Amino acid sequence: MRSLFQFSAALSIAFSLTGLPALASETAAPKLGPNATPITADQTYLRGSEAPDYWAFRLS
Amino acid sequence: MKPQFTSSACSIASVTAAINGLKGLPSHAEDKVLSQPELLEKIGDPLWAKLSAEEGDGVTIAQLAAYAGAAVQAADLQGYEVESYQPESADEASLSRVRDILAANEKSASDALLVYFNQGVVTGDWDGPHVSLIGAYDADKDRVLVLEVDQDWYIPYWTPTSVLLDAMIKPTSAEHGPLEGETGGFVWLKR
Repeated sequence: MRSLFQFSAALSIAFSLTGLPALASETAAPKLGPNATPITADQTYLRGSEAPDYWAFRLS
Repeated sequence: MKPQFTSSACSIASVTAAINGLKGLPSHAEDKVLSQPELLEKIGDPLWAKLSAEEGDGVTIAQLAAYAGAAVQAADLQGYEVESYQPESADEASLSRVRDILAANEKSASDALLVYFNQGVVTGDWDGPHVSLIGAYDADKDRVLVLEVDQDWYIPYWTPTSVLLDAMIKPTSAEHGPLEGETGGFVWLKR
């Protein structure tokens, strides 16, 4: 449900390419903010627990 | 779970993953794993297809629950029912209920828990309503693994339970048109 975001991003790129002031921030934001940790960065629980839902649904 | 097949198909992707996980791998070599377009066709609801098409508006949590129920029927998952929980505030009672649901869901893979939430509250980016599947609950650290179907942008991530609750109760902003004011919660497929 992120179509409006994509439109805004495309608009920013278009302004940049045409030499108009870019709407996008000059400093790129991190992929994930402080409230999210990618699974690749912390596997402790999954390696130490059965985690049945993970195995049932991760690849389903 | 597979990536959502359009930018607005997070509900279909999540429900399809839930159904596939609950049913398990098909028994026979000639049987395919259920795909998102096949589930849409099985349900046969033009509104779900329209809301989930590219540039579609997306679903409300009530619609998500209804479509999950229809999918359970279409998949012939005997004895399953769909239960919804929509917290109204981020108070201690709501947080306790959210933890109880997560802990119950974590015990086995015989149920599936969908979450309707504001993605940006968790990721720090796009501010809008989204659906994904719960992959695990680490009670000791009180955090939740979200199996993201929005895989053009993310991989699965952990987030604190309190943050997920905040993300469920944040009303959808006006830029999302008909979804303005909608809040989220859990949709639980269980027996």
